[in-house]
Amino acid sequence: MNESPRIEIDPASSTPVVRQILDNVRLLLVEGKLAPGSPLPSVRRLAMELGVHFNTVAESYRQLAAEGWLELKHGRNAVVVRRSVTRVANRDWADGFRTRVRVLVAQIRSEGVTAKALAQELQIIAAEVTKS
Amino acid sequence: MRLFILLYNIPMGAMLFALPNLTRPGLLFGVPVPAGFRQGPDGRRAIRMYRTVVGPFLLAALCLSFLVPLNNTFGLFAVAFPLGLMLVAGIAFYIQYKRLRPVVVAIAPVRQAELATTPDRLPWFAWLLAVPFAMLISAAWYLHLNWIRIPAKFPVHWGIDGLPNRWDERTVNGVYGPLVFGAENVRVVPGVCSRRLVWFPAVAYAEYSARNHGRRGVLYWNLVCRNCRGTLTEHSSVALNLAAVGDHCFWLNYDPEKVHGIRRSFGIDAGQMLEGGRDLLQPGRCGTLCSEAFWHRIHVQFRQPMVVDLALGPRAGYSFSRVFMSFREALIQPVVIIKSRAKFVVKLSDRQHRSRSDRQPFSTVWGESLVEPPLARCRSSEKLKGRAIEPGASC
Repeated sequence: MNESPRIEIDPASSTPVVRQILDNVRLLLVEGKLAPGSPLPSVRRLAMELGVHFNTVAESYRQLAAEGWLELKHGRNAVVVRRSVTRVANRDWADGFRTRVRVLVAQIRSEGVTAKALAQELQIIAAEVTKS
Repeated sequence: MRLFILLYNIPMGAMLFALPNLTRPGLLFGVPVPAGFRQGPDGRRAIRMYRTVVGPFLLAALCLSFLVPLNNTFGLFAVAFPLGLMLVAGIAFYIQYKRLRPVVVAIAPVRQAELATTPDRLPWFAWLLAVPFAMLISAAWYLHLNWIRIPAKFPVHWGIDGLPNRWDERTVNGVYGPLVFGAENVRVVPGVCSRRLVWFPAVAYAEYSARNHGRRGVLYWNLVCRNCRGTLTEHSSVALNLAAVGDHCFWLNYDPEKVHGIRRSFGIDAGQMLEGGRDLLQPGRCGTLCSEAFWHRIHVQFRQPMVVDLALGPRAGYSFSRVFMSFREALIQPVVIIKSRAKFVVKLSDRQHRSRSDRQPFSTVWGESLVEPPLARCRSSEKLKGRAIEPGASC
């Protein structure tokens, strides 16, 4: 029996819980762990399991639906849909990506991680992305 | 009566006794404990100490259930039993809670949730909640069919002194209102208790669901049963009682020393009894008045002169107000009540035949003259409409 994907949040984190849920679910969607057509837990159930307000989960689901990942229907579970991605034509995304990665690298390095270890991790991630 | 007390209290006692095992493994006496702590020496010791307090008390109370005589003392005991048990268990629980506080583990800051791709479904036992709803609908239907037999005025609330302090009339609101209130109470049950028992446990859903399905089912069934009991005894008993009595006069001359099971709840199982006056007025023999000795023998405490269908009496009992009522009503009661009633019917019918010579004109109750016109006593009879009845005349 396949284990269901899990998400985790840290209420003590400075990142808002809505954002944490959004990022976690999006990661599972991008990695294909949530296949198109599979239903997500109801807002109420996920909120109870995470110990957050229903509106928090509902807001995350709404944002994912706005991004085109989910289909929301009243009275039914949210369902993952096949997302049609518009290919980005220009190179603006690369500048934004580099800026965000640099910020992240600086943050991790400030926590004491060595540059070498960080570079190795980035290579692993690059290999995973290439495979997918 | 003893059987009913036991049927009601044994599940509660068993549940309190088993309380430490009813929580999830990471929680013992309300304290989050490390994994495996429950099976360790300290955990077992805490459970043993709790049961050392609750067990003997429960055993003593059960023994007393057989030993206490069936009189007013028993009524007091019937109330003190569950309250005392809850108090003792609560104290024992608190002591263990205080003892275990030092071993409490910090709850992990990170919360996890499973993104189960299976759609939400209620467990099968959630549908047990339909039982009290069905009972309420049956009661409403029964009242509708027997509308004419409900007295024009009837009590709906009793004071601590045992006397009714609020009355209602035979109106749609008065008769069906309590049923609506009962339905609302039934509806609240899933809201209050299902968070833990049915739908949303605090740990991973699939894991919890697979592991504790049976246990949650038992707990939920217990709640539903209690709700069934409360539904009828608390919310529809008065009108239902009064509508149901009449044709079957089984307890007309019953022995008050033996019958203690007729009572309406007040608060937590402390209550006063309601008796349908029609039974006391001997249906089918409307012109015959009961003797004063008879009224005293059945301990009638309150009788309203203007409402001949009504008589009230306090008696030790335990919220099983419809045990001695008609078969039609018994059909909507649990099977156990039907069986118990059938057993009593034989005794009471037999006594009825032996005691008819006791009936003499009845004069006063509580110092007030209550010699009523026979026509008023017979007004429920179809045969007597429009006829003048002489005192002592038969229907």
